[in-house]
Amino acid sequence: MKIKWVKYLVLIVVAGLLAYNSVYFKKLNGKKATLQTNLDPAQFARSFWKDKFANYLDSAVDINSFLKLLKDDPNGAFTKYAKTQGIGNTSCFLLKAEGQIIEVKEDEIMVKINSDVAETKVKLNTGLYFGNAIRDVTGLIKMGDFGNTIDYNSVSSELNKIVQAEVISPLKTKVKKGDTVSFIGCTEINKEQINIDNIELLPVKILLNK
Amino acid sequence: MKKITLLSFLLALFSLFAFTACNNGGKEKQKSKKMAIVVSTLNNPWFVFLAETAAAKAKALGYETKIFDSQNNTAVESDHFENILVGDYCAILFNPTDADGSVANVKKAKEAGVPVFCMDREINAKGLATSQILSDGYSGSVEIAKYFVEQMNKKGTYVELLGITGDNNTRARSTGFHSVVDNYPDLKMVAQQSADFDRNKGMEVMESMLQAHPDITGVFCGNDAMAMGAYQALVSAGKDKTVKVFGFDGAEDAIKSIKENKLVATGMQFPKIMAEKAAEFADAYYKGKRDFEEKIPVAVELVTIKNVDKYMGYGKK
Repeated sequence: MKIKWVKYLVLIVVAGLLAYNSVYFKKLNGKKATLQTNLDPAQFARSFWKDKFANYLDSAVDINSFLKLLKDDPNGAFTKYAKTQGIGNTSCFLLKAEGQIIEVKEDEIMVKINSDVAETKVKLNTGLYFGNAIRDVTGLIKMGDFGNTIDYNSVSSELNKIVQAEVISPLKTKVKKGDTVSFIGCTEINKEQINIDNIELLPVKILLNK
Repeated sequence: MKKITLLSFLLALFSLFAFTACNNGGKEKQKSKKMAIVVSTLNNPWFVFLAETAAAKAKALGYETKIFDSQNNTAVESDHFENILVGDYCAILFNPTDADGSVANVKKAKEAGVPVFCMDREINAKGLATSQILSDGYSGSVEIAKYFVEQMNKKGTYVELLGITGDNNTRARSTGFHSVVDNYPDLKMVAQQSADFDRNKGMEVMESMLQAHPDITGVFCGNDAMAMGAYQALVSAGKDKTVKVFGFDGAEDAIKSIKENKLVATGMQFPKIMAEKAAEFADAYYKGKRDFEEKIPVAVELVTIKNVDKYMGYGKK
C-alpha cells in the first residue's frame, strides 16, 4: 500500500516538474527589447531639440578658455569637454562666445571674438550642414538607443534641418558686417588634426545686437 | 520496504535536480575556449581580412577559432549557427548577411547562452547581440559626397552602384551620400542599380549603364570591389579619364588605385579595429564581464590623393 502511495507521489512530482518546465514566464520589457522600433525621426528630433538640447545650452564652454586649454593641453581639453561617439578621432564641443562680425559671405560669417588675451577669429558656418555635431554634442543620444543605424542617422539629419530653418536662415536675412553678436555653436575637432587658427562652428543659438 | 521508499524519494530528488539543470545550468556552464567567426562572404578580400584579423586576435588571446563563410546566404548562415550551437563555442564573432534575416540566428544563439558580437554590419534588433561594433557608413558617405560635389564642380550626370539591398550598410552609405549630393540640382543621378558588393557584377552593371548613359562623369559605388569592377569597365570603354569613380571600404587595391590616380576617393572603414575589438569583447565576456555598450560606431575616414600616403589597405600606416 505504502509502495503504491510513494509511486503516485513520484509520478505527481515528475508530472508537476514537466508541466512547470513546459511553461516559461518572461518579462515583457525583455520581449519588447527584441522588437523593431517605429521611430518618427522628425518628431524625435523636434522633441529632443525642445526638451533636452535647449537645456543643455547652459553647459557651453567659453571659447577663450577652451582654445587656451586646447593649445596648452590638447588631451586635457578633449578629456574635459569632448563628446565622442564610439571609436574615432573626431569629437564634438559646445562653445559660447561674444564678438563682432567682420565679414559676411554666402555660406559663412567671420567673427572677431572678444578676448583680453589674443585676437581670435572664428568662422560660423551658415551654408548647408551635413555633419552630426548637433546630434552628438550633448552625448545624450547614443547609437544603441536605436533599433537600427538608419533611425540614428535620420535623427541627425532632422536636427540639422531644424537648425537650418530656425537658426541659420533667420540669421542670414538680417546679419551685417559690424554687428555685435553673442552665440553658442557646435564644432567638430579631429584629435590628430588640431588647428586652433581655423575653428569653424555651427551656430545653434545666436543673438545679434545692431 | 524502507529501501523502496528511499529509492523513490531519491528518484524524485534526482528528477528535480535534472530538470532544474536543464532549465538553467546549460546557459551558465563554462564553455570551451573556442570562438566561431561567421562572415557574410569570403568572396571579397575585405571580409577575408575582417575574418582573419578576428581569428588572429582570438588566437592571440588563447582561443581556438573556426571561420564560417555564409556565402551571402542567410540559409547557409543559419546552418552555420546550428552547427556552432552544438559545437561548444563560447562566442560568435559575427558579420551578418542581412540586417533583418540574421536576427533569428542571433536570437537562437542568445537563447543557447552563446554571446554574439557583430562586426561592421548590424542586425535590426535591440537586446539580442551582446555588442555591435559598426562602421559609421552614413557619416563616411557624407564625407565622400562632399568631396564628390567638389570634384564634380557641382554639376554633371552620375550613376550609383548599390550593395546588397537587405544590408543596412547599403542603405546607410546611399542615404548618407544623397543627403549631401541631392542638395545640388545640377548634379543628376541617371541610374542606380545593385551590384551586390561584387567586383564582377560591378563591372557588368557598369558596362550596361555606360551603354544607356554614355555621357556620365561620375560613379559612386557602395564598396571598393564594385568600384574596381566599374573602373575596369570604364577602362574597356575608354572612359576612365573622363568618369570619376568613388568607392567605399579602404580595400588594398582601392588605396593603390587612388595612389595611381585611378579611383578618386574611398572611405576607410578600419576592419582591423572592429575585428580586434569584437575578439577582445568576447574574451572579456568569457572572463565574466557583462555590461557592454550595445552599439559602437567606428568612424570612417575619407581617403583621397591628398592624404592617401597616410593609409594602407584596411587601415592607417
